[in-house]
Amino acid sequence: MGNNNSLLIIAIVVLVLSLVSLFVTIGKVGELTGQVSKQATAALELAPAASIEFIVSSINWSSGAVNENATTANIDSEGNVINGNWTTVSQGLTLRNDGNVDVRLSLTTSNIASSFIGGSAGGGPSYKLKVSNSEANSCEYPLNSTNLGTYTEANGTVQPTCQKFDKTDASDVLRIDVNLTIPADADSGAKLSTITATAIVWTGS
Amino acid sequence: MENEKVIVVLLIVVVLLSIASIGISLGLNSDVSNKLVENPEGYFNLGQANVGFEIAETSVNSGGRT
Repeated sequence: MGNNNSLLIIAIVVLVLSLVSLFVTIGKVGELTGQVSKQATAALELAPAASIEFIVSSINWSSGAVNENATTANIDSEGNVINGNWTTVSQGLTLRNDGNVDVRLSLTTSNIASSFIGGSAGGGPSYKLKVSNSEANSCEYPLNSTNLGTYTEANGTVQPTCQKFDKTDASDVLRIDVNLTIPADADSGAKLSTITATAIVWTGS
Repeated sequence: MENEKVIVVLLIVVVLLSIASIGISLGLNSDVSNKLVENPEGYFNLGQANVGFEIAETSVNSGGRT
């Protein structure tokens, strides 16, 4: 009888401990569920929604040639055709951050001037890109004080372009202009280069 | 004898509570894992555009053929 009473007391203690354990677990689950919810929210805002889209994804100057007696021609996407008869292009590539996070933007070209254009007359070919705000402050943090709005030679590698490309609807569009110098002795034929924009979630550093 | 029955019932309750506690913990871990696994896919994104033109044949770039 005495043993039974002891066992009963022990069983009650164990039951109480088990109940406490269960309530603690449920409490933790409640807290963690809250944290998971916060983490999930952060993740949805940060990681899964990084998204960029070229609104204008093609520039084509059609067929043309360097003027006679000129060593090079220069064409760009800002409406200029100098020493040549290519079709004027006044629309740069347009890139929009259509995700819900700010991103770090880089550009990579599939080739460089020598392989894209060729030739050597007049100092050789040139293939330059210029990134600027199509909507004000779209590039909230440029690389430095001069890179935004300045033509930079494409080198075929990943070239950081904008540290913080804004997600806000009113300021989430960048313009990418292209400037080409075409030597008179560049081989005839179709020329094509692909520009890849890479957006990585901006983490604040 | 009466106490023994009570003890048995209590122990059964304890076992059930323990199972419930373990189940909740496992469910939570699974949920957290799924949330974490979902995230990296959208960490970066790519866009592509093309730039093109054509150079017509001239006397300079054709070696005098035209």
